[in-house]
Amino acid sequence: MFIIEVIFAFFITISFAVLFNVRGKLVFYSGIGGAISWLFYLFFTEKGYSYSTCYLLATAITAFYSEIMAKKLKTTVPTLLIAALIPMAPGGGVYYTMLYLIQDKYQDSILKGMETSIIAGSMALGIILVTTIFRLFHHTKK
Amino acid sequence: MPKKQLISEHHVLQLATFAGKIVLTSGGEVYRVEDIISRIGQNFNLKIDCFATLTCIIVSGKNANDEVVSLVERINSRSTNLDKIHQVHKLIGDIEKYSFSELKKALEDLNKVPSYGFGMNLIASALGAASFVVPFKGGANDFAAAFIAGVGVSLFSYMVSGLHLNSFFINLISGAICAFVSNLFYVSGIITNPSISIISSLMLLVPGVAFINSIRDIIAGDLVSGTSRAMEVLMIGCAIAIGAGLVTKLFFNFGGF
Repeated sequence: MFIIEVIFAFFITISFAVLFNVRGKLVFYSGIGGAISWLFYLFFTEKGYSYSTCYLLATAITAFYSEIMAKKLKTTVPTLLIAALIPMAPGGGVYYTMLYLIQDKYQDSILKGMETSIIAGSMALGIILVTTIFRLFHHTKK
Repeated sequence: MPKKQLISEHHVLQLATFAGKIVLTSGGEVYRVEDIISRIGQNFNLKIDCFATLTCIIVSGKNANDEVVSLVERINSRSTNLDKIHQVHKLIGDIEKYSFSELKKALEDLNKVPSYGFGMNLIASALGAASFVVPFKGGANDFAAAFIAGVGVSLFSYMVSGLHLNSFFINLISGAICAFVSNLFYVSGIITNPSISIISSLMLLVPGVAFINSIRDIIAGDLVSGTSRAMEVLMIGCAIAIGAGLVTKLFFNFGGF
């Protein structure tokens, strides 16, 4: 099941890369990024970490991959990163927040809403960490 | 380089702004736009100061004689075309090799390259939505429902692409389509739980580009653009939730017809 999910994460990322109009071999490298993001997310979940830690670490690893590959392939970081993070996007959280709201389960809805914003926050933190480290590196190299 | 100094300032300014406009309308970060504009100016011996937001680029250049030229470019619509950002980035990477007219020609050429056709988009959004069923632990019937919802969203966005509607309305209707198709499958008894296929197809609408760019803008210090993009994310999220919620609520109340 582990492997199948990772393979489908690869397909998800490729589809989204096409929707965002990425071309050529970059589509493939973006797909690898998506597979890595889902693989590490599953790995950290299996280890029993809290979900915010899982999202933070998996996002940081994906951002790290994108920064390195963007240097290597002479492209911009978002070209690889945006599609690669799509498998982890908290769309489910937004949906359940809304669903509980219309079912009049206000407490569940608020819990889900908090969870979703924590996930979005940890993903943001993951990107911030890696980007800042790479900016620092770039700065000192000059 | 005497050849480069022959070009008048406002031509350089226009070219730089054109390059910036391509990146901004393709969904690039604001700091990247400002960086590209000032680098093109540097290359043609013009010191350019630039302020870009999501809806407007303001540039002003100062030449050696302290004469000031300036330009304001309004941005009306933005889409996502990461290939154009990649191409401009590559062009700016070895900007030294280009003369003014060559650079202008190259930029105009890459701006004309069409994005993927409708068929490719249709396949990608159907497969993208359907593939999400696997990480959400759904079955083959959910897969089919998400596939059809993806086709519906893609068809809808193709139909309204020429109408210049606001993004709030488009996202609302797209969210409604996702919920409608999945609930229809649920009511007709093909799937046992509409949630999985709804989430899978809603993923097509999740504002990933705006989210990541807003973070990158905020880190780079562009607080105005970063926060306005974060507002965009919030607005799209609300639109999707309202659209999907409305349809689901209707199905709850008048379920089964």
